[in-house]
Amino acid sequence: MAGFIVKRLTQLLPMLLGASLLVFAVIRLAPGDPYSGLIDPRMDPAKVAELRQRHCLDCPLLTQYWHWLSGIVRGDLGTSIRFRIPVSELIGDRLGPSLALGVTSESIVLLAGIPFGILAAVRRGTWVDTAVTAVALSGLAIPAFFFGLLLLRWLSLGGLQILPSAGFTTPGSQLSGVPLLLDAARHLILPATALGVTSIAGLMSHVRSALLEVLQQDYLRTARAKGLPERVVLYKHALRNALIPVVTLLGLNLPGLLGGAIITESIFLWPGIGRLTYTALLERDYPVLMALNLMFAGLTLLGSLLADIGYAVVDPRVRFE
Amino acid sequence: MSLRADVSVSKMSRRHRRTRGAPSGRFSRAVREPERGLNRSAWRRFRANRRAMLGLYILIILVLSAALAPQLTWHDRDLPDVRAAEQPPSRTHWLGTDELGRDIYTRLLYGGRISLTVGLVAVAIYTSIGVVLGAVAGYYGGVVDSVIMRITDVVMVIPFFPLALTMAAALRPSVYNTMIVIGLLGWTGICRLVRGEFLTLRSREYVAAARAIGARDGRIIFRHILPNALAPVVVAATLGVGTAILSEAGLSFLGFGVQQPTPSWGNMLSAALSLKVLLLQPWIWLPPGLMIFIAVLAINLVGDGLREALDPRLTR
Repeated sequence: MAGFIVKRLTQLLPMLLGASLLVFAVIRLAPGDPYSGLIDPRMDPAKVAELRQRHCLDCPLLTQYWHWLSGIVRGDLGTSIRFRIPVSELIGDRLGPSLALGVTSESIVLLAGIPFGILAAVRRGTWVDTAVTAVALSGLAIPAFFFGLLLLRWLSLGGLQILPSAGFTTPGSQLSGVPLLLDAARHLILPATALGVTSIAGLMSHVRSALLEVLQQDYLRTARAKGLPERVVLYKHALRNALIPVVTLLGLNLPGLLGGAIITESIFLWPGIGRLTYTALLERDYPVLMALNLMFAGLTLLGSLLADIGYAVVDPRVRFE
Repeated sequence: MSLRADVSVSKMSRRHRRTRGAPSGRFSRAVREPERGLNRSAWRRFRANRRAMLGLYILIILVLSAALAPQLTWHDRDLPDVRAAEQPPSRTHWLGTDELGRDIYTRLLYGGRISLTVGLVAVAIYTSIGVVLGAVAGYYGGVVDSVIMRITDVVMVIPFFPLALTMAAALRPSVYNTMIVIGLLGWTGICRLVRGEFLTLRSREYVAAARAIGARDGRIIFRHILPNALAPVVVAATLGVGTAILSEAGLSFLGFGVQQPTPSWGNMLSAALSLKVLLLQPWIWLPPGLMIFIAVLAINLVGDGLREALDPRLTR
């Protein structure tokens, strides 16, 4: 297992390198330089020259790429043009809330997707199955941000008004401990649901079809013939095998979370990475954008590595290949 | 036909003559309607799929309403008329007006034109790229395959939406740049698909036969292997149009896609970022959101139907 992980990590590095090249190339499609925003035309020319020197703005492209890359390896992700602070600090501050949002969203996806997928498979052909399939189809077709707006309008700002509409915690409140957690949880519900709507739909259909396939297997006939109650047949035998792909799905969902989070965090004013991305885009803060895209690439690779490891853990057949 | 010895020959011939006209047994459909290629039976399967047909009808209505937009409305698309601003649906303005006084129904129709076109063109771009790269990678194998696959992996590693936004921000956002951005970043799925098909198909006998009679590689790829590899590509491209529409909506919603005053379903939705519009003026943002939903739903139904109809495992 350790050898497997090490092997995958070594494959990871060239991909990250390639990704960094792609990100750099995309950013350079823009007119001017990534750092030319730092240069105020009213500054005195010596200062301008020094800034240009420091950020290597007059170097040839390859040198600029190397300059950026070597900075990253040293931990220096650049300086934000808008905020004038190191990018790593900027991202570090925002990582926590995004993590909370992501974890909550994945939990909601699992809690909603798996039971309904099972229900649809077990009650195949009945109205339950039709309803679940209809919900799944709708979930895949609705834009996540439209769903978020609907939630905001009818559950938060207008309509029922039972859930908060923005931010991680209620501003101005001095809560701590359990009340703080509860407050944060209330704030998490809507954005996490909006973020997960597409994944819930996908998971429901996957679980349903996987379970339908497993339910036709012979070993279940044996289990029923042995006289086991249907409940045991389902939970102990069928589900264990049907839910194997779910682990992979979870890991591969990670990049989708990152992409969807940009809009969701902007709508719900969530103080996370997605909102940072949006601000950076608006201000054309290229150093931040370069770092963010590279980070997203890294997270995608991490997600797929975790998915593979998880798959090996859950499915013994893979381990002994 | 009976083999009874006591019945006279003439009776048997009469029976034979009567039944000879049209075969009517269990397998005679194969005789009556020889299948001209995969497409006939696939189309029949598609037509039998009620969900798929529903999706197709909805899609036809959407495309027609987009194409016939000038005929379906007489309001101006872009001209502001502040006296009529922010009005709820009425007899003159069927879906009301937006904050600049423009008719929502008109903008919805023309916005449909833009959104659907961007979806189609973007998918056309990335299907072309993906098919060519995948075919070359799958057919030649070896170093070419490795290089193309590495490039594909690198593009797939960065999640689509952040990279698309970054690219759109770097280039100046516009309708054409949106098509280009989605097209340049979306080809990886189709590339892998086509490569897989080619890896399987290149060892078929007809390929060896074509090579034996001296056909050039290009001809083999495009005239012999590709037509057989197309079925999953058609399904993927169809479903891809739905995803492209959602992507364009996302890009435009954030301001990095279709720019005002040109309407698109995505940028019409961005009005809802204002609290007043969100709470008090649902006619401004609910219609475009619903249209995106209906369009993508219909496309998904059609795509799923195509997938079931073209599935080679079901050929009888």
